[in-house]
Amino acid sequence: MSIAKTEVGVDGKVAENWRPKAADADMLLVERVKAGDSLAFDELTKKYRQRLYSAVYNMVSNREDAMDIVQDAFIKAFSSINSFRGGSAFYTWLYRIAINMAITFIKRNRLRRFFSFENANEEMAPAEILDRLTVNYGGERSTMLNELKEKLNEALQTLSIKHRTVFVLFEIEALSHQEIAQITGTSEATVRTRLHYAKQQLQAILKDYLK
Amino acid sequence: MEDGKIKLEDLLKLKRAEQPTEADWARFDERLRGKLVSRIVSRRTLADRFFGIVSPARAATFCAAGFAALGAVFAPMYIAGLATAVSADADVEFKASSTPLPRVAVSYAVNEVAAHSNSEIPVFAQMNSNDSSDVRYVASSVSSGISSF
Repeated sequence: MSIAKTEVGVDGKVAENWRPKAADADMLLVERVKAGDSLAFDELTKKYRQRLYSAVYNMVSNREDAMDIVQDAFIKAFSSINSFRGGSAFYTWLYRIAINMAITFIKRNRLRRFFSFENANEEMAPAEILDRLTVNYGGERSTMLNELKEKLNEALQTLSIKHRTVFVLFEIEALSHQEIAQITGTSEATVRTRLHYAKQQLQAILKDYLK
Repeated sequence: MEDGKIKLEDLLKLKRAEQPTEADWARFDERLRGKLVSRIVSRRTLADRFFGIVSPARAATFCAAGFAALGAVFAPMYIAGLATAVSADADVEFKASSTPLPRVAVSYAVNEVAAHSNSEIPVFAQMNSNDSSDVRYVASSVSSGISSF
């Protein structure tokens, strides 16, 4: 599995203009799914699979497991779509299902952990970072790129599940504190606290690599 | 980016840029479809098993058996319930019959009526209070004809 730049902005941030329109459009699709329209379910799947995958992958650090969890999350969402009343945005509901399944998976497989790792594709890495790596490591840029990614994955795994969840949803998925609070069933203050702690932890773990 | 330092934010940018390819998504969709189909099939299999058992020919048999089973369970309870009700009524009857009837003694008192027919006449009865009967009937009459009773 290689890396592709999809739905990610030039600066590496997930495009943030999807939320306002998403809620209304999603409700229409949800109503169609409830009415038995499987094409609407396909649309919802295509719309959110990448975001769910990204969140779950960064929690479990294994591509195949992440794919399985996201598929199961969609199946669960599909089978319990009638219980979705629209009290929250559909995507937060969907995220919640996927995150809960990822957490369950992590807890069940504490002792059986292996992380999938693959060589980074330099074409997909932001140019500014490649430039910095070139400045610092010269010809070993590619090797260093892989090492940095591996170290970040390892560092993420050292965080507790709660802290990792909040960190991934905020820093990688670019969700707001409020959305994360809805997904995790906590307060925004708790989200902020966990996020602050997670950043501190990661900074400390990666201090040798962050110059 | 300043002074060529790598920051945590840079590493996160690498993570954000990390996404599966279209080929991966095609495989994802295929597997998801397969899981959905197998889920639907497994549900149908269970339904088919159920409806296979309850075919029209067998439905009547199962219904009859079901009713028989229900009857076997509830009939004794129902009968026992009726018997209890009957015995309760019998108790009531027994208690009623065993209760001594009141002894009735009739005492008659003759009203002394004034001779004037249009005047308001006080009626009084002289009770035989020494009698030990439970119920007393007092007969009164405006006219003196009762005396012939």
